[in-house]
Amino acid sequence: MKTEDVIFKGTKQGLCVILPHDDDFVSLKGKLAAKLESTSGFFAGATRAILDVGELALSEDDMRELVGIIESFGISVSRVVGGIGLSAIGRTLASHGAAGAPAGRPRPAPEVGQPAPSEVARGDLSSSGQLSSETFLVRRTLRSGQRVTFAGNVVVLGDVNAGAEVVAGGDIVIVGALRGVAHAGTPDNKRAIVVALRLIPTQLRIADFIARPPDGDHRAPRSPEIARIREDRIVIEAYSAKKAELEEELAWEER
Amino acid sequence: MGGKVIVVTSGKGGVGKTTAVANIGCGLAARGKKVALVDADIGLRNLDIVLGLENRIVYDIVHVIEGKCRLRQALIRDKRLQTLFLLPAAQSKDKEAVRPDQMKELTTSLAGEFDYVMIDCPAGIEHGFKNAIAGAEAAIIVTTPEVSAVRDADRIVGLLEAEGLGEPRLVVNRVRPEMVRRGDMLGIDDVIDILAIDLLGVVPDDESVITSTNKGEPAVLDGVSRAGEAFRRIAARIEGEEVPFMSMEVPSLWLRFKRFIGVAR
Repeated sequence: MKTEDVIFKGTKQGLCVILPHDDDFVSLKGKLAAKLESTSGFFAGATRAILDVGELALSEDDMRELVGIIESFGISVSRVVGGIGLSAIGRTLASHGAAGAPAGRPRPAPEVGQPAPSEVARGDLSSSGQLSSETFLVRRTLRSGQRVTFAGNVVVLGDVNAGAEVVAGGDIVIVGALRGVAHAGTPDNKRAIVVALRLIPTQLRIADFIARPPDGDHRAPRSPEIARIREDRIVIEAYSAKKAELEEELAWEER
Repeated sequence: MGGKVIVVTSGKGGVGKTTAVANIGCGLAARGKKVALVDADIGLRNLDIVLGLENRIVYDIVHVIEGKCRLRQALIRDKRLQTLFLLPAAQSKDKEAVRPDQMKELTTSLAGEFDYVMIDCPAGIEHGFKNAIAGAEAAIIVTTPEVSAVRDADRIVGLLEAEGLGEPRLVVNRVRPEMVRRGDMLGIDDVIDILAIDLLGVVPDDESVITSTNKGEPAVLDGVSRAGEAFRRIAARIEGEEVPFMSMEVPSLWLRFKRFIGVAR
């Protein structure tokens, strides 16, 4: 369901602002401001809102601008839902009482065929003490310049092209080719892994380790591979489900 | 004692700005100069690929400007030349992430440490162009011998003059002598006639540039490449040397033989 216009919905948690799929950011801003303007009296009682950006690919600055527009009408935005290529929004929005927001799924109309309603960069990546076990599913190919940041795990059903970046607090699984940059376990989760069907990254980062392929290396793996930290360096091995299971068990026994 | 900040620009896209920056930069560094190359094409970065340094990027120009890292951390040392450094552009941001005054501050601090600071300007005349020229004190205009490219270059000359960057120097790229001879391509003289600026160099169309660009190894470091030789001469002219312009003719087998035995040069 792609909407043409900005939609407001009242939910128990407050107002839900659903943005239309409009690639022109200027026109999008205009639509949002006009809608708020025309209905400002109606929402006099609303003080908190959830902004649902759906499938839009917005930059952080764009997102701040949108939040700013809503807040200029006296409505504070408690969180942002959806969006591709976002990062660190959760942090800036946390000051608006996101901590008190209920943990339920706020998206009023879950759509079949769309990514799971996940919050991008929910929680603070710098507080690794409590790792999010949530997983953000990206059902598309990430192209150059696109960036996904999430405090939990990230699964990409598609490729991550050179120039694209995936940053996760937990593991990164790419059901496709990883040609860009993947940073798992940010900032300091050394147990994080990166798995891809074709692991040919520009650069791999796990926790605070960085690895790049050696110069002149043109290997073309045919089978899935896994990258992880072993003895203080990132190593890449063939991925085998059986082996991974076994190792997970061993890791449990060690504890 | 500050270095020289030079912007490489063209107006039109695809004429070889990035290739020129990489090759001239390498050419100057190969002469022992300390050179910093700045990719100002934020959102569409390429210079890192042409130099083969893409997989070394951790911080970029936007991180520096936002204060997320120090300038030194973002500078990537070239893998071949010890005195060549790259400040990469950000790929997931756009041109508005940087303001001209910030760019000026950045190039000024780079000029304090390097002999040459070369800025790879994005195509167009908008925000990215204004950023790229903000801190420059000299300009190199790259064009190809095509009417559209020359027209855009002419517009750039005017815009640079308005910004106080007078006397830019011209590099005519991808010249194909046989086409010029047939009258199918603008000649160097025609281009100079239209633009009326000093000629810095003429670079022949050379397939080796495409392969070297793909491999991330600038042609200037390849002793055989004719384009590489042209860029070496450009670097020498930037250093103030008087170097004759290269003959655009591909030497015939007979001539090469005569050179080999030493009866011709």
